[in-house]
Amino acid sequence: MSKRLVPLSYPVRSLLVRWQASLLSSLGIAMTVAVFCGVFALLLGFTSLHSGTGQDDVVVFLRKGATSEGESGITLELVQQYKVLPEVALDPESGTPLAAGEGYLALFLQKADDRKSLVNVPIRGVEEASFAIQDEHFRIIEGRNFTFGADEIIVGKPLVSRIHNCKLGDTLEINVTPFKVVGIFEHTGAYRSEIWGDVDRMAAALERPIRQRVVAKLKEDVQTDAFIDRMGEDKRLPSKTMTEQDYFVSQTSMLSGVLGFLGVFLAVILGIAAVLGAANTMLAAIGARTHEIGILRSVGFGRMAILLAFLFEAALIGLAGGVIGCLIVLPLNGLETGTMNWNTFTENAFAFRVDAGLLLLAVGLGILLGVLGGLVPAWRASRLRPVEAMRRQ
Amino acid sequence: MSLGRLVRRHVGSHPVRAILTIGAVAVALFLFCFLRSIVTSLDAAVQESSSRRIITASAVSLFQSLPTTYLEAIEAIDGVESASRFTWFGGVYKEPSNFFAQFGTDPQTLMKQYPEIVIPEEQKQAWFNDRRGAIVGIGLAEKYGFKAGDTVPLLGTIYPRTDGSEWEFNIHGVYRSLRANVDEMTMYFHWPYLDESLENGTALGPRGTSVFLIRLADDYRGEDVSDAIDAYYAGGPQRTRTQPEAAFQADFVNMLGNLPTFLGMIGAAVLVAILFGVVNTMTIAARERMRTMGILKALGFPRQVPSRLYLMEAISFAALGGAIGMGVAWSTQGVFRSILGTQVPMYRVAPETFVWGCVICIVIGIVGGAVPAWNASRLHAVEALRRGA
Repeated sequence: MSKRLVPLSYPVRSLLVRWQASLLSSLGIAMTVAVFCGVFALLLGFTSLHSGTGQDDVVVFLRKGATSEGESGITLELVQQYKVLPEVALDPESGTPLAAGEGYLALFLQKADDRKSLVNVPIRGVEEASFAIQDEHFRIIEGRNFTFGADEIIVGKPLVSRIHNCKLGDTLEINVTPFKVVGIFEHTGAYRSEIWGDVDRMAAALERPIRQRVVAKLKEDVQTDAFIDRMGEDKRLPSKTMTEQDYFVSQTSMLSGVLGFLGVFLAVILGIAAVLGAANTMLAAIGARTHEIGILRSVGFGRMAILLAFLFEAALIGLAGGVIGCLIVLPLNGLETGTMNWNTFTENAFAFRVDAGLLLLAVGLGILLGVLGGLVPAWRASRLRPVEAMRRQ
Repeated sequence: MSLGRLVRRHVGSHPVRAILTIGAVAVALFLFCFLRSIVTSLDAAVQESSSRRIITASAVSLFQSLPTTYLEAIEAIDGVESASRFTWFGGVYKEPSNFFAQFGTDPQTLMKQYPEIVIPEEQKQAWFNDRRGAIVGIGLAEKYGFKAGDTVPLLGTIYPRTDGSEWEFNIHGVYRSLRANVDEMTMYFHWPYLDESLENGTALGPRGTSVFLIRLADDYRGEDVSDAIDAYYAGGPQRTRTQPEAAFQADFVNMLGNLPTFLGMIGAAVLVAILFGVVNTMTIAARERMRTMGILKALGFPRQVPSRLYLMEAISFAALGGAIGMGVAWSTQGVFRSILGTQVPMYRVAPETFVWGCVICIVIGIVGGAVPAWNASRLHAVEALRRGA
């Protein structure tokens, strides 16, 4: 008889009887879950932009020691040497290497809605091979591509509404040279927050005769890892070589670190407050039901059964909190936002991303907080002596 | 029984609940102080900047160096008392995660331009006399254990040494800063040492300087001098943008985008949640003690006494919790300065934050106590005794 569990309807009903108090403690948990989820939805949106879109057979060469394109610098002679490496794939039609020396600089540009505040917008000078390498990840969605040799640029879609002078037909001044916006492009990865144009025209406008990176597609039979190892030991042609995929991921470390710290830190602090709140509610709930607990014990329910019943009640409070928290965060999914990438100091546009895994984690966190809050009260309830409990009013 | 004693008994009658409630308030106040301090510390750098200093940078890009030949032209412009070069070095100390700021600068000019940087005279002279010398902020010294006499190796990212080795800087002193516009997490070294290495080919990277820092002569307005400099370079080769130190600092804060708003929203949400929590607890507690209140009334205590007891209880919980929360925020300043060194180098809880914290405590206490107090005031002794069963 002592093995028998208290019917599940008991904790459910007692929650409904004190629904106001239960709801308020659920809200405390919901707030924690919502903040945690919100920060991680931001983090997820940012990292998913940088991972999964880079290609494994595409490698990026930076100057040795550089950690990002902004710090790198490669002379034109060196660019040529990277391009003619035997491992680099050739264009099937023209027979030229599928490799491009790209120029990169974050420009001060004005925000569209507040022209007094400047943001760092990456501008990339590209070569014809750049498009062949990006292939299906890149497409023009409005206007046309820029013409090589002309002072024309194409603009990533998120910039159009955020940055001044980035609409189709606008003219953007780069240092002292005006460039015409002739097209809007979309890219599945982090390049979508950039402005692209002819590398030679940009180098001339910016008076920067060097390139920041060389990007190249490898031949199909080349082992990427082995190639990177070989380049690492090449003394004649020193470089920092990595796959495009790894390069993307390496550009997320700072902001990911900050957001991850913030999310976990806030969740822990808020979680403590929510657990304290839930414990308070459960204590009061149990205090008011001492008599009932006495009856339950005396009709044969064991200590374990009482403990489990109250833990279940606390878990339900947590579950409700987790679900409410998810409902608060769900509308954020897909919402476009922008924040500074702390590795490159440039503005990155991306969307909050709430996926099933995050929601599951959120509900789990809610239940965990509820159970933690119920632990002490439930244990207390299970230690009550039946006779004394019955006597108390 | 005096009212004071009654309050003490009342508050202490349910220690577990008291601790839980105080704990929740403490957490809320700590978080409030922490989040607000991030925002105010970032702002402080802007607020405390000197109007005597202006900064000339490239108008094109934050990462574009200016030709060092600009120095002479700038020094010749009316109203410029002195100009110094500042180059962002971007070196890595052992691990990329050990990120801190290093600037190549003109040491003698820097110390004249920044009276808020304080360093013992003999350390300063030693730094002046060593081309490879450097000084570090006290925060940096504490974080990494740097002290005078140490050699700090840095791997160049923007300026790698040609042979792949590390740069070595001799630490000659540790500075403190009197104002929030200069942080204590920076290393300053001789700009000429960097430039010579680039010149003679022992290091690679862009020549020039990131910015020029200009101190105005007496009676000159910053706007006039700024306009003069920018007009001089309007046609290139590199256009310049000259602005007051405060605006330059504000640009960096603006780059964080909506982070301050975001933190503010989280803070507000937390406070509202905790307020609900305290009201909830207090109401539950009052319901449990209805019988006690009925007895008090029946014994002939004035009718305001139960209300006052509830109010005093809520206020003392809020006050105690608030004191703990703010105390923790105060005592962890050093810890967070170290953790947030890169992002918020001058993390500090401002006095106004504590004033706001007290206001919030009072609000939580009064609102938390008012609901049960109001209920209690309307309650008749007989009814209380009956319902409180």
